[in-house]
Amino acid sequence: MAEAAADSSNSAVDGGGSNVQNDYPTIDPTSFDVVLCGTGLPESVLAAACAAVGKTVLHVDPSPFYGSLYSSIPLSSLTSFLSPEASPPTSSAAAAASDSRTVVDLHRRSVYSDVETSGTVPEPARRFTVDMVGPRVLYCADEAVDLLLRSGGSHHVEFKSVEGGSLLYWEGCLYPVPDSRQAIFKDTTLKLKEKNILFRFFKLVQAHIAAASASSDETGQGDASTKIPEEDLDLPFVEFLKKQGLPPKMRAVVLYAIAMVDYDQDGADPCDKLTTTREGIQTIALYSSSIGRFANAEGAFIYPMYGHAELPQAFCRCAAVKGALYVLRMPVVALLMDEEKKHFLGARLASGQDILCQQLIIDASYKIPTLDVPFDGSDSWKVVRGVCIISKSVKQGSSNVLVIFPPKSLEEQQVAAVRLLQLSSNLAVCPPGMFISYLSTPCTDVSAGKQSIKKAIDTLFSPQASDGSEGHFETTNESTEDVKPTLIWSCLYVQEITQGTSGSLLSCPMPDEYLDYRNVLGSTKKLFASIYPDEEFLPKKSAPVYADDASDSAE
Amino acid sequence: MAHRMDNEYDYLFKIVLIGDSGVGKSNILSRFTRNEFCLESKSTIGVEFATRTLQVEGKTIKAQIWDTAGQERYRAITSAYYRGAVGALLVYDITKKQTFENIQRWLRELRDHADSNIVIMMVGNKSDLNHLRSVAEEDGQALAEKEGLSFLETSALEALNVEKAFQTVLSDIHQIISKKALAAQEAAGSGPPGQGTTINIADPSANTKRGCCSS
Repeated sequence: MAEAAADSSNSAVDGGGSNVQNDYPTIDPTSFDVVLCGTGLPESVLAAACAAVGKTVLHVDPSPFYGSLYSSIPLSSLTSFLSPEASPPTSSAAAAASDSRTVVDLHRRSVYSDVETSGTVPEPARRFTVDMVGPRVLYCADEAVDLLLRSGGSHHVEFKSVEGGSLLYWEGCLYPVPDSRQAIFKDTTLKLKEKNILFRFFKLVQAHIAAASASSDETGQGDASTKIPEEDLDLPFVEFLKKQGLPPKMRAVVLYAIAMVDYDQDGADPCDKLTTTREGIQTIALYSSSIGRFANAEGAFIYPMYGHAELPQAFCRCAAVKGALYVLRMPVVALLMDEEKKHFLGARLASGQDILCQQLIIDASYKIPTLDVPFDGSDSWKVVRGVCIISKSVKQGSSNVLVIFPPKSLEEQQVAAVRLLQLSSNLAVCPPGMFISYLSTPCTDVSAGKQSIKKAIDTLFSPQASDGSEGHFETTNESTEDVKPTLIWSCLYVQEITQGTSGSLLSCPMPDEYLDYRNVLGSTKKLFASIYPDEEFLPKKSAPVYADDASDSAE
Repeated sequence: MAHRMDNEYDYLFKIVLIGDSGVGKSNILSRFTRNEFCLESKSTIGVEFATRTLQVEGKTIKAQIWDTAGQERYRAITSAYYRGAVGALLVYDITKKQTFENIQRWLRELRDHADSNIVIMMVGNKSDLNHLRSVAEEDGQALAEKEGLSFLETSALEALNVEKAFQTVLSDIHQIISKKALAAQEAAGSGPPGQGTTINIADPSANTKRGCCSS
């Protein structure tokens, strides 16, 4: 039976009014194939995938809004989201071992730390939406786009282009990234020799991609002479680029701004961080097939209007259309096991209600009880994220822009690339005349990571107190010098990264350090395959066929 | 007889249905778009949205009417559901007082998430069950007037007032759009999300949709 219990501590984020809901609903039915807790992108895609193959699904979230760690938060609620209060006491945890069940408590933890804010939040704070996954985009040819199309989620999300393209920070200046042959042709900052080298390189890569896809189509003898030899594909990409005669700046363009490599490829020691030619070309292939995929999209990247939480909402809606049950403001507080703790039976909701299920999937903010999963005591990877509100575009006349700071471009100790994604009001994430910029860099050393982010911020933006006479910033594709945008407000924080686990209890991946969702979706697919190895992941034609027009032609 | 090809319309209006579970939203939808009624009272599954094209004041309007997919049952409607909606039917069941008392909460949710110019009609459904009535028509009318909403009682079963409800909402929307069009000509600047081209990944070819009115 439902009983009165403490409301979720996220009530401050609840836009639905001031009265606290003490009554939890009773969920009917009480048995499902799959229960998911958390509505981040991996959980939502899994809900859609399970519902699409006919599984019964209960999907709950402790928050009053969708998104979990993939949320889009009003700026006024960001600090409370990053530093939540202690979790409310679990209701009826004392009622253990009833009718041959063992109750194992589930607790949540904060995955964020080292929060630093500075500046004044501009009014109205409500008009700003902050993405917890930023900087993040979709490639136009991304698998995320295909999943949206297959599931029908594309009905629920609209996008805008990152139409300002990418800029590379190099030796104190911002340069446009020439990401296609046409862009190379038009670029005014490249020397003729650089253009020829880069053009030849892209031609080589395009020929390889075409030959490789011809081979995979099994049309027989693809033109083997245009494929890059295997020994080159296994080389570190940086070595391959050197073989092709690319000078350092061009190598930085290809590695960090097009292949989106994170770690310094010229550093001596970290061998496991070297990207192979094969991996680099994979991303270049995705990048180049993204340009021009949608007639109205400029460049390779698109961004969901209103923020990234629109994506999990879209997949959740697809699951609901297939019969999944949705409950917000409902934490899962415990696991139900058999008496010997050998078999998983279900989950206990905060209302005290027990739900039986064959599979429980939780988001990464839940601690995994030490049942059958050995504790991994190794250092966790982290990502430092920054959010800035600035007064004008980093690139004059552009709304949405990506800026890449290659490793060591800011200072010698910078071991990983820093990415900055600037968004404008055309995405409905901030008022007109202001911009939100997201930054991130992966790290194991938090203070070094934060230092890199701060350095990037100082490089691009002026502090508020500046009188405007200093801090001129040269954008080399224009003859005039632009004044730096003013930094109005900023927030830095650290987020830990885990990949997700299998077992009787599945934990979903956290937002990672990458610019896109390939890695997150790859892990999500693996989780689905581990539960339902014989089922297809979001089959084509999963999208509902809606009843189209009975035209009113009475005239 | 006039022949209209698909997608030949002057305006596309997104309308959302909201209200408690079981008040008859899906039957209102199916009655209006397919002239069907289903007596089974299962929670809404399988319905994304439905459309119907009709004439309103000389204009061809394609109404795209969205159902909740059952997400309202445990208060889990997505904020994305409300995006771009220019009209809403706020539905309660005249035989269940609680569904009428919850109208206030649905109205608050609507005002939090939807565009401030959205046209809202309050609908008291199941008027065919007058012998089980627990909400007086006058009470519905009074609340609607207090909140500045249109009001009608309907019966999806008997097809009473369903057509009229949608016609009224669509007509009101059209009037607002017409005024906006005049105001937009006077004020040269467009609204914030209007800047830059919106990309609909589902229509790579027809991304130049005509006259789509979504806020």
